[in-house]
Amino acid sequence: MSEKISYAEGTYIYSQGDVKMCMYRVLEGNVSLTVCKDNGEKLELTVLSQGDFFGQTELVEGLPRTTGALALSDCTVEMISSSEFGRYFSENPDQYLKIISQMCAFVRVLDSKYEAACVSMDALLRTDGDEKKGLLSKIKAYLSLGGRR
Amino acid sequence: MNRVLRFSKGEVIYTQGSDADLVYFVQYGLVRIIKDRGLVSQSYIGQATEGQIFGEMGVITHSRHSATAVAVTDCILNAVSADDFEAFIRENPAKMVVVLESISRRTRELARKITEASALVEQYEKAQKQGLAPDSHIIDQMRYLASLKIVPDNDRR
Repeated sequence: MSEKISYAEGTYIYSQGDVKMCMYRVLEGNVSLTVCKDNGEKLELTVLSQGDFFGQTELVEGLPRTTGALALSDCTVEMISSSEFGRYFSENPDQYLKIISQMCAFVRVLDSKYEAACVSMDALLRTDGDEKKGLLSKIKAYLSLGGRR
Repeated sequence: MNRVLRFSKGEVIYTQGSDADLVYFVQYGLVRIIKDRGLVSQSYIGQATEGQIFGEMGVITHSRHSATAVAVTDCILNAVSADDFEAFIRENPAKMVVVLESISRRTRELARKITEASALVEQYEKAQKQGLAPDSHIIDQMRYLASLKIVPDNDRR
């Protein structure tokens, strides 16, 4: 059913914007998910290790890749195509439940960071004083999506 | 395991802060999710229509509802209890995609909002560093975000 593929350190499993209807699970090694900012700078969102899934959001929504996936070390991944999705997870329902609870927890974190940023933005717009600088760095910290730089 | 619930237009399906005990699959109608942001305002979080779900976040994370769900039209919903949710998913693999799609969409929408806010703040900071007043459209957009009075795109004037 699913296919095992190996990637050498420094190669991309996929790039932002690619269209491919599949998702992956890390079997060995580390994978970095990155986004390209408007100025071309790459921002690392998260580093994945053995057992982690990635690429599922674009698969279920039928979208181009919203991040790139870079092999940080030599790694082996398991590729699950859209036609295999149902069977794969009905055989591994615990894995499915793990994915959705991780994603829900992430949404909650993003939501509270976003709300905190908006509240500080409100304070920023109301002040004329020296607090501006502190508020700006606070807002930027709330809005930074990256885990590690 | 799942039961059919009917709500009339305008009725509250659940309120923010209440125990998340059901996941709802919309069979007919439109539901809007609204968050009460304390003193500031209410924000529109999202909506669900035929074939989509809502209420899953609280059930999956075993927490309270973080927002209120209101029936925009008369609705027919299929509700699965929190206790049955895992078993329901195991027995209905077809629903796996529906649930994951809903959570993915929410993640993507939030990430988009954060990226947009981030770009505004960068422009604001750039102007500040140059000793200039930021463009009024940047201030206006930031004020809109800061109000947290988010309205659905199709309601915006």
